[in-house]
Amino acid sequence: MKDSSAVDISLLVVLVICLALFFDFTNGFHDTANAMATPIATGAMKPKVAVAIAAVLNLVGAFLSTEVAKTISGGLIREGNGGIQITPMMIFAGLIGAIMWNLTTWLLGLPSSSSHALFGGLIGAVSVGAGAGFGAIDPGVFLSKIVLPAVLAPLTAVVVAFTATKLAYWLTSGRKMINARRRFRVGQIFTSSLVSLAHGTNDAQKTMGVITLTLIAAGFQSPGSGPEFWVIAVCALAIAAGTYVGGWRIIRTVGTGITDVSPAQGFSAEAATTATILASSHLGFALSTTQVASGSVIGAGLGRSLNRVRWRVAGRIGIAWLVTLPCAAAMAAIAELIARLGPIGIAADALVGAVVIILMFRRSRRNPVTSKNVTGEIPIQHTPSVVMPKVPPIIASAKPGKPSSDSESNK
Amino acid sequence: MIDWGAFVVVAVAALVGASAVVAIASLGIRLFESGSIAERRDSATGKLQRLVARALFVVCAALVLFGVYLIVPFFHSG
Repeated sequence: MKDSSAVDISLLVVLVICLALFFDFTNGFHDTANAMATPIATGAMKPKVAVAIAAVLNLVGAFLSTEVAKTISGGLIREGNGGIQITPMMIFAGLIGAIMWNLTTWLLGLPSSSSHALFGGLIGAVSVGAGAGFGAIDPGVFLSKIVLPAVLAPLTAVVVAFTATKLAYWLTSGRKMINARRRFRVGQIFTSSLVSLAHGTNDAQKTMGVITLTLIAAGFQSPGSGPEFWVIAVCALAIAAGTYVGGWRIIRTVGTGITDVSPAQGFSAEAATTATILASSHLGFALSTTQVASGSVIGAGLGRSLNRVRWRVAGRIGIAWLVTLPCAAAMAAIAELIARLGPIGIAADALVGAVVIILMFRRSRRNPVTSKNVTGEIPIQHTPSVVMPKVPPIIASAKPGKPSSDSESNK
Repeated sequence: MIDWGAFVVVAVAALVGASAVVAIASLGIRLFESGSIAERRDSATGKLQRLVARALFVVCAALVLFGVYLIVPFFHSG
């Protein structure tokens, strides 16, 4: 693109910013489940109320810090002198890959990491765009910043949530306590709100970082400077809007697909997620929110008993984690190859992308998941490993007369 | 390469933090419930239990506020 005029560059930058904001939006609705799946599943909060709280906290959180945005590239891609010149076009292709993968996993109802999708997309685009293949990627940084944390995050969360759940049930054991356990719902409101706030301070910044990187790459902003205020503001709005729309498919998988969450389990899982994320962001070992949150739910299920976890669902989630980065990278690589044809290629990319997005939304209409049926039956559950009457938990638990301990009494 | 020390610190801190919150909340719920049952028979123990339970809930609230403190960089890095 070195031969293109300044007008082309500005157009491309505008296109990249739009795509980045759309990615931010998908990031928001992909990750609503992290904080709000379990409180929705136990009836601690009504679905609409939960997503509204999450949206507000994400909006507020986005304004609180720009630390992550400043370190977005984090040395993963060898940029700068002697390294690879990242062009707005590569970012454009990377974002297309990331968005495609985020929407694919959303359609399948799988909680995959948006950060992995973004990194994968950028890696794919840069590898092809720079013609350096995977030489563009620092393998040591790749392993220590992405691969190992991806294994350690869910493992840590499983252990922490398992311990917390065991503790909660042990401390509230006895016949008299069965009804009392629904009081954990009050606690869930607070722990899930903390997860939302922490999410807002982290995730919107990835997009801010990408937009800032683009502006720097296009020469509109001096290298090394932080995000402009308007960038922070639009990113905050985009992620909040995405959160409010709510990725109901993913909320359903995490809230009722992995295991049937009781208030005590939900509280334990959310406490584990909060503690793990806060510890990781403060003690210098970054872990993915999505992977921690899903791991916590599995741990909370295990804390009750082994056969309460639907391993088929857990397995699908695990596979999604494994393939997120390579798939986003492959899609971005294809987008980058097409984009290299010049303005026509970029237009073709945008057009194909838009068509695929529309097709995915149309496909999702065939079996829509909304705030109304989010705690209902799980169609992806093929083997009923848990033999329990399938009460829609939210209806049963929303009324104090009918305790949510339905699932606890037939233990 | 990978900072295993940092990871162990994070894992232990998460385990201790989550267990503490859950234990305090669970004890609070337990005492509140048994206190409520006892209070129906006008027992002083019931009142005391509920008082302790409320104190434990306050501790939980304090831990949540500590969480907010940790999340908002303005409070600890400025």
